[in-house]
Amino acid sequence: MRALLIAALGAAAAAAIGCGGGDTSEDPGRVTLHRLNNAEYNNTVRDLLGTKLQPANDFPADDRGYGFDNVADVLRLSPLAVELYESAAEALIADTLQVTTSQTTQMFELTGSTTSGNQRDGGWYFFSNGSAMVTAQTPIAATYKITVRAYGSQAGPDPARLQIDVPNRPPIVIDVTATSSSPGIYERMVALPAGNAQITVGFINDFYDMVAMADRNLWVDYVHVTGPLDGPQVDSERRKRLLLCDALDDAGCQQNILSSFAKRAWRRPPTDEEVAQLVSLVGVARAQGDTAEAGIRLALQQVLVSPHFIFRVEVDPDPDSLTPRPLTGWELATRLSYFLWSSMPDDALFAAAESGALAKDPSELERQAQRMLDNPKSIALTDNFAGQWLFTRALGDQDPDYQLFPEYDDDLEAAMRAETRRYFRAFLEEDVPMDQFLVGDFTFVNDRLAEFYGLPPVSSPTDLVRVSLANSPRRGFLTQGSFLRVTSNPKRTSPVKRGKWILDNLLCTPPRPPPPGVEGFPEETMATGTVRDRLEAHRTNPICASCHRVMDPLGFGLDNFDAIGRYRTSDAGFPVDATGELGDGEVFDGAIEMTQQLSANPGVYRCMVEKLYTYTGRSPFRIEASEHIDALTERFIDKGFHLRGLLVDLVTHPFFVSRRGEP
Amino acid sequence: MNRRKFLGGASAMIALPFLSSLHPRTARGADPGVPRRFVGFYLPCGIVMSNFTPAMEGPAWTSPILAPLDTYRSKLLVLTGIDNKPGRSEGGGDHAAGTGSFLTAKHVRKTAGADILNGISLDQVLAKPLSEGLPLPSLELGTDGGAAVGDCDTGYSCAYARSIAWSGPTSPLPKQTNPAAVFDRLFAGYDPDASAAEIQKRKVYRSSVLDGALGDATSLRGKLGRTDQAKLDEYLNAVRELELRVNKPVKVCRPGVRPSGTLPFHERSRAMIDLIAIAFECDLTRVVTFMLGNAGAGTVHSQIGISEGHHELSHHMGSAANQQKLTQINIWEMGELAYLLGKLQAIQDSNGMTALDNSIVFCSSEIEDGDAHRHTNLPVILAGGGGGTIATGTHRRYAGGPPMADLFIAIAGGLGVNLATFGDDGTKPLAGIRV
Repeated sequence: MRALLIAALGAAAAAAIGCGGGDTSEDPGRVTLHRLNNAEYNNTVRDLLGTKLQPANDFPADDRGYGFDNVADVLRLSPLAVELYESAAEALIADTLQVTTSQTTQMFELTGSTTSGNQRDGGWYFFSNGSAMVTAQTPIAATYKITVRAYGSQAGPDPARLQIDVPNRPPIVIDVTATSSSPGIYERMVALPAGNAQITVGFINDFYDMVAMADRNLWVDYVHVTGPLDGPQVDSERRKRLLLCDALDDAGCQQNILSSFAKRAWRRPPTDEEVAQLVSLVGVARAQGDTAEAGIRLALQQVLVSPHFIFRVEVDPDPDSLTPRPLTGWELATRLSYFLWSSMPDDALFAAAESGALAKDPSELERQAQRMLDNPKSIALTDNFAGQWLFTRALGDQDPDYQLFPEYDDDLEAAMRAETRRYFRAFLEEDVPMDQFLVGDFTFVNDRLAEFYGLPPVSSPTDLVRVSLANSPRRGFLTQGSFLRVTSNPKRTSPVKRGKWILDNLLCTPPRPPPPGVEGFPEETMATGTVRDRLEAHRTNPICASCHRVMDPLGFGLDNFDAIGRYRTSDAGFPVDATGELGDGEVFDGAIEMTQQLSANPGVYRCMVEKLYTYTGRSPFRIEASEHIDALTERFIDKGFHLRGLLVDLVTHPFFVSRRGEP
Repeated sequence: MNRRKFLGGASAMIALPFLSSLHPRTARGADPGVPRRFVGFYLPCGIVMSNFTPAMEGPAWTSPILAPLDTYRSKLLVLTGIDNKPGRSEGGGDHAAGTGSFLTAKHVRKTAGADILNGISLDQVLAKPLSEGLPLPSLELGTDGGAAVGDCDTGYSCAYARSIAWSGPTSPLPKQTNPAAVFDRLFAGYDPDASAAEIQKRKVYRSSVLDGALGDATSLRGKLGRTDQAKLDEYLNAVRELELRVNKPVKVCRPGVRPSGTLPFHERSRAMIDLIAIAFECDLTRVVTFMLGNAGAGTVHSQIGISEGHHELSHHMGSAANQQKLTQINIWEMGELAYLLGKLQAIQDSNGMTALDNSIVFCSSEIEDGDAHRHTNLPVILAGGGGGTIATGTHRRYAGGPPMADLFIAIAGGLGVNLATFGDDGTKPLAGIRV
């Protein structure tokens, strides 16, 4: 099988890039000065400062190119972004150096099920009396503020009534007079005990008059718990990690604090001049009559606004030279950690950079990579690489039609998202070979997803449990709810979107865009056939057929799964026809046969390598790259499709460990 | 000053009159003239032209889609028959190409990569003269950051699909989409109760931090190759620009209540429009662009009971049912525009006129009809008097497809900015716009 695949690979490579052969180039290329993207920024400040703030959530959306949001050439930087870096730096340093027990706002979307409501518009819709509960972390016994956003569908003599129950005190009853056009925000101060406080929010005066068609309901969007608002002041560990010494007026102490912080934030040791300039900000604050600490805060802010923090800087000794140079240990540590963690290096990786081991010893590089893949932070590779490759990041961007799919709610969507994350991690962490990715006869479900998939219950309401798909019509990634949902429209499946995704992301052979003036088909109020029937024009019109005869059948193979991924044998009352053929003329009937045939196609494995290569290299495609990809693919197949092996091959590859200048 | 403290105290200001008279209306002592303003109001996915285009020219126009604007009909100019031919795509991607070209009237380069190329947009041409001396040259707002995966539109960069404001051919200005973050940006630095000394100290601190960062960047620049230098120049220019702004006089203004950061789509739209009005009321800027969705937006307008995505519906294929739903969406969109006009009408300017009378609001879409993807006969609404320069109160139909760029020249002229040419095909002010 592997030998056959490798033999067929040349043809697949030629098909993907339009030319084949050639010697493997030793040119490592170069990566443009890389602005931290929003995911990288948030992860970096989390690891640098231990903060829970995620300032980049409000930065401008990142540009995407070549399928990913980490391509350095495409990541632009706007004046708005710099302005937000400045205010984020101020907020981050203030958050880290605060003296009081950190006051946080914990936000809860209501979860847990009762028989009296359902989830809608991201909130809880109570149509009869009932309640839902959240658990707030309360580090100390103190006053906390509970904020609830709610409105009532008002009916009958009284407004809708909301009851809040907290430990050790009488219930709080609130008249929710707000209506849907302007939901109300209701705040109450309460004393809560230390530890975990259970807060129950409920609807207590349901009203329904069938004759008058009057129905009183309550909608609750969120519960926020802010605090502690009082209580003793204590130094936080995070503050101590930044202010390494107490004698803040002492120049040596100031240098110690600022050089240590700059070294971690800039991912390399600062020069003496750089440290001296940072220390000079203490003088600025002093001249204004402020304390040394105020000055140190300014210097810490500057570190976070500096280009050395915002960009991943790699400086070539000779920027005009085309001769490849090995990366320094610091540069390599930075590449490695942003690839595997989408974040800065940790202390162990910095130590390997500083000792020189990382740059000198390829086995140390591999050892560090393996160690980092075992760290929970490697979830970043699942979220940022797989989330974009597999499109599962888009889950939740568009809701399916509520009336057609009433069972699709936030819980189900969360379970679908978790399933694909967990499934990808099985290949990353448990070394399941990637030739199982499309045909795997296992997946991960909780009770909700098991029921939705028609699998036996797993006695796990929230956590996912590994299950066999042996007696199920599902196999592998393409039959997972997340994929089936994000490649559908709100009301129906889109075999075209599904087929196009397979061509774009599994075979790396994107179809040409449709000619001008050729568009979709009208939605019908009365069904006249399956979606497949209505796509017939794609096959009869020769202009459409040139691409759609390849694209549509791949989607038809998945037509037993509806727009939310539910198994079906009929579409709008007409029987589903899930037969089709791949480009090479091999016929299939249904998802299981189609995914088996795809899985035997070497182009799929070359495409996986190509996607990962793009994500790793963060650069637009060069001709040399296709040669690298061919060689990496051959090894990937030959060694048994192990994702971790491929990752190690990537991080020890010349294009990863070296770079050159440009003429 | 303590930014967090100030924000934390914002809720205490609820009791104050929203449009407080505490701030000076004639703060711009250097500019005694009319405070002229521009708003670019972008609607995605086209308009149902059969329900938009009034049957007759002249002041007695009727249109089902324009019904929400009826209150303001004397302040409107409904324009049909204008083309933006530079917005045409190359082999698909009309939403992104048309959006990139929406205010630039330039044909954008088809690329998904680094080598984007467009022109300067009308709002940015106006920003410098209109907002001179104000804290912000312009404000870019929208409802959606951008889809998380995949192509933005058939080989076109996301920059074209998400940004209508371009400060230069390679410089899209990204927009903010979280009302809470916009509020913080506008007001976090402005403590209405800060003393002059506190304000001055804050300026010194911010300048010192930015100076240090600028020094880092300047010394780094000399060590880089040319591609990296170009990338770092984006940073250097932005820091320099910010530093100039830090040293501008601080405006004192009571901003009202900080909006929520977690609003559903239709409430987010309202919150953004409120912020446009606040920015004008406080005279923080005089130029705003607002995108009610990105190019080819797939927004599900559940607030009016429509469960299909907007883009999907816009390919209506002549179906009456689809067009009916699209018309509902268009009417809702016009309601948002009407809400903005009402807000502007409520602001009294220093010259005794309303902000609506002193502004020009330009509203259109990236294509004509969603099914056809045409860039001709675009739906256009101008609102506001431009300080008494715009001949409002009628529907004008143009023959021969005059270029949108000519309309932009006329708009700029109405706002006191004379342009000889604009975009790819603008050569003269469009007739019938000016008084």
